[in-house]
Amino acid sequence: MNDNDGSISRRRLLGAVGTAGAASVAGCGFQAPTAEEESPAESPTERVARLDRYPRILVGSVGDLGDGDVETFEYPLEGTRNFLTRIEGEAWDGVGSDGDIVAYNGLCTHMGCSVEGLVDPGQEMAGPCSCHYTTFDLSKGGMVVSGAATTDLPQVRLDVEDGDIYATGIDGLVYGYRNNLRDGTPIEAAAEE
Amino acid sequence: MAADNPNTSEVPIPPTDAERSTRSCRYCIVGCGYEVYKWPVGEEGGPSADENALGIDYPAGYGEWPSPNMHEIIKENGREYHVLFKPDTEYPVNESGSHSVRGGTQAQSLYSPNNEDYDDRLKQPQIRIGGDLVTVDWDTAIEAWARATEIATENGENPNGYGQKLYFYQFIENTFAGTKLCYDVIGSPNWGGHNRPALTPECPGLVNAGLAEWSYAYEDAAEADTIVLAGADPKENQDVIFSRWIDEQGDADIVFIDPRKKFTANYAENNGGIHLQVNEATDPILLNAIARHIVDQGWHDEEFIEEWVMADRETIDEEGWYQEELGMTPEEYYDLLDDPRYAPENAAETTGVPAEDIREAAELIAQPNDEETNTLFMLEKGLIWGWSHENTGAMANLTLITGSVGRPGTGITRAGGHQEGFWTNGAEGDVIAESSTQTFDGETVEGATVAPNTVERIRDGEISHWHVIGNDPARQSYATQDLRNAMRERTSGAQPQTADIDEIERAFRERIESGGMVVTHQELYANTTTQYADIVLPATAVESGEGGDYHRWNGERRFRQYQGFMEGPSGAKEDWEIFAMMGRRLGADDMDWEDSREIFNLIAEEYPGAGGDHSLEGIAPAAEANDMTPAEYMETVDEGVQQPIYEENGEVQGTPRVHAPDGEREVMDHRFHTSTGEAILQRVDWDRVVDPDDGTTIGDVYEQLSPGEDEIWVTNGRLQHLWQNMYTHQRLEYIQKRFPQNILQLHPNDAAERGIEAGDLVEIVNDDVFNIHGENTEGSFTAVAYVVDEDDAAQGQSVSEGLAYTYWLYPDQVNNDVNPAYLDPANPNPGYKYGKGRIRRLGESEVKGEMSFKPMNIAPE
Repeated sequence: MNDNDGSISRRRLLGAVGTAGAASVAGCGFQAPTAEEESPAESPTERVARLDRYPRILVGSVGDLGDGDVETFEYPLEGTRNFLTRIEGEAWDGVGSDGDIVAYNGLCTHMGCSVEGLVDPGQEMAGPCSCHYTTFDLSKGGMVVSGAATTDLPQVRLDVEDGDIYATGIDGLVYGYRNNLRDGTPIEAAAEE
Repeated sequence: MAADNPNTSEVPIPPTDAERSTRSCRYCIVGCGYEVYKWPVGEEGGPSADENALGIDYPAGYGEWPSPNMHEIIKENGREYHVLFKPDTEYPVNESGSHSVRGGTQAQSLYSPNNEDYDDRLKQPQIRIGGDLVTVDWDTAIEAWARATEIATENGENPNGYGQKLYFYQFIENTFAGTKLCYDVIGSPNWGGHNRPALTPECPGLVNAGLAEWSYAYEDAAEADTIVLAGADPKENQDVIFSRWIDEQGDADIVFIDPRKKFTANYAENNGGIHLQVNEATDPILLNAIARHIVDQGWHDEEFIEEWVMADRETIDEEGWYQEELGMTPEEYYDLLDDPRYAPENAAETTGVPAEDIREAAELIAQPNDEETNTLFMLEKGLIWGWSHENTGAMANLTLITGSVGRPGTGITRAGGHQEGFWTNGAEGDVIAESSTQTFDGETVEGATVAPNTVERIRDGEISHWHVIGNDPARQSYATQDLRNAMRERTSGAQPQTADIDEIERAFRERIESGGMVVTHQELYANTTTQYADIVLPATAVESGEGGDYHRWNGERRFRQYQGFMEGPSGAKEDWEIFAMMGRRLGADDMDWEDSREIFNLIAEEYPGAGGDHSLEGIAPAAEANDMTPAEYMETVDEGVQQPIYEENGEVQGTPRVHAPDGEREVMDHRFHTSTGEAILQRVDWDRVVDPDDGTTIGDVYEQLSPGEDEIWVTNGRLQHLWQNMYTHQRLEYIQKRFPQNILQLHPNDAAERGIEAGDLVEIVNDDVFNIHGENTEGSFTAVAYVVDEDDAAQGQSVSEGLAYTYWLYPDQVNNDVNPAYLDPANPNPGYKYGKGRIRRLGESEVKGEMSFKPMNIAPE
């Protein structure tokens, strides 16, 4: 059973996707970027037309990230959820002394369901996504191993300084967005320049 | 690592006034709906639903998102336009925006200076002069084609000198014009389709049983209690059938019959179904064993068989020579199943499927505890390109003995291939009867005329001008290494030295009179066949949206219009127009069409195929009732309409499924397509003699095809990312980086034995390519070894020891070079799947570090 399937059967889960729309989907795997919740229409000033560039934000610590750990963080906008993990072997653009620390956006690029709870650092894969079963290779830039996604899983660029891990950008467009830096509220974290 | 779109970091939003058109995907039979938005660069919509043409709020929700690979910038008349080519969330096939990786990346193959394939498109007509292709004008090219045809056919005295290899797929306007040129204007029987050498049914065991190849509605996949997937994997080649109709909407137990333990095998086993991991090429024995157990247990539907299955031997014999040779009464069929070979324990020995699994599958299929059987049978190339008659006939038999057909949640259907648009004016029957030089001799039938195998007519010299359109037979046939040798030899004679038409004629005449051949290739991109071509004609990619409006249907016979939205290369022409120029040059006075719509109107009004599974007969009356032309009327049928199409109350009405029971609309006057309306069981017999001269049986051929010492089976099929000969995908960076070369899946033990590891380049050599027509030949190809360590194979190895698997048509790494020339003599379809070879390591491939070698068969548990 997938982590985020819980006790809900696969049939029920996907039946909900097909019949009840985004509202019921959100609770069972699909994690819409929820513009309405994050940025209520009555307070449009919280949204930004465009961030000028990606911020540099502390997202973890090399020392605290053990083998098999999967941590989550929002970046660069509120509600844009990503995961940070240490995989078995070396990764493309991996950081840390073994180049095995990577971070990716948590939404499958096929139709927007979450793969956050489906990360297998030992296998170096994310998925199969609970909606249509795409799997991504975390050692090779989020390349699709199998499945219908039309882009790689967006990889978060990382930088390590004094054992701290910083997010500095994202390669690839996050599901739902026209631009990773538009149409949302910037994350209010301890950004460092 | 980024997608190859120049706007990866930003996908623009279409403004509310963006031009919108609709069509279906250019690729597979599922026929998902897509909508296309086109607007000038420099304009953009806003992120609120009322500010953009999509009517969505950004960030986009489930299934709404136009991904970077759904966007492209094209250039027309010096002006740039954005194009968004995205799933149509309103279309009944893929509501909610479901899509495959192929369909979802179509924008990346539009004719645009921003795309990799721009430079590779054929843009001007060319003629090979002095060894190289030289750009010429259309008049010269068409005249050269015409003179080659006149020489090859001796000015029409010998029409068989012309051969045409067209597509079965594509659109009815183009296939109508192409087949008219071959059969009607020239009168040649030498016509082959893109994937097989003759005008034969793909599933002879279904068609000759009186069953349609496409008879179901997609909703049947959602309503079935059991789905049999035999030699078919919708997850790999019909993504939306799997994801939307089988998985999301449905709840069937799956009986997955395949030599590989792939995703769908694991999915079946994880969800109450079963995987029958059948040994290569033993499907008829397995399917008969399942049928035998059903009959032994009394689970067959005797009432249905009594009413709907033909039981009179004489009537079967009168049905036609095929039925006389290979049709059976129920009694004869039960006797055949009594052969000890088909007892589950014995079948287990041959097929590798445990007897208890055969019994379990039989029970899942027959559903003995239910009042009626709701099983859907789906088959595709794993069966079709093998023992063509036996494999497809065995599936027909299972359908008929369980009576599981014609009701919601039942039926039998193909499960792959292109969307279809094959249409003719009906001339082919008489031409083949009068001029085919190929006959069939069986155990009871002698001298039956069959449609000629055009590939053999290339080898034996009957065809002197080969006109190839939209396919690559030099790679896309069987035993192709040997075929290329023949093509090289037959095109190596005299060549024109200038583009002067009389010089061209001189050279063509000299070559043909010396036993040689002229090749014309009408295509989008150059491929292997182009290397042998004398005349190259650039076609417009109408399937991608270039040119006019067209029509075709999908896997539930949903017929619709595809609206053109852009221009292609200015020097290219739509195929129908090229055929019309040729036809007129040869004297046809009824090919003076203005555009594709005029051909559609002609078909709808004069050749609607009345009475057939794909009848269009309701369109013209409905159009007339609405004071429109048929093409104008189809523009208003947003959701398409399922064939056969009728007219009621001034509108078209569709038919959800063929073979419906009494009381519902019947197709072709009868529930099943025979003279009496009763279906006919098919003889599926391992001991069937396929060569009466020496008594060779299917079983004997199997022994000859089987791997010898140091060899293993090398079978082939789809990979989800890749379409056909990759004419688009070989030029698409996002797809290419997943499979930068062809792969060969190997079991780690087979790999270790040969010193091979993942990422090594290997050669597959078959020095004994079976040839039913004569001497065996040789062939080889290369691929990158795809080996998954046992530790990483979380849900098992895809391939078992002794079996390798490769993509079926990777450019320049083509397994057809080792595949046998076994074609059923009654219905010459090739057994492409039954390759074998020795595997050896050449060295480390250049792409070892770039490719992912993770397991592709991980299914949800």
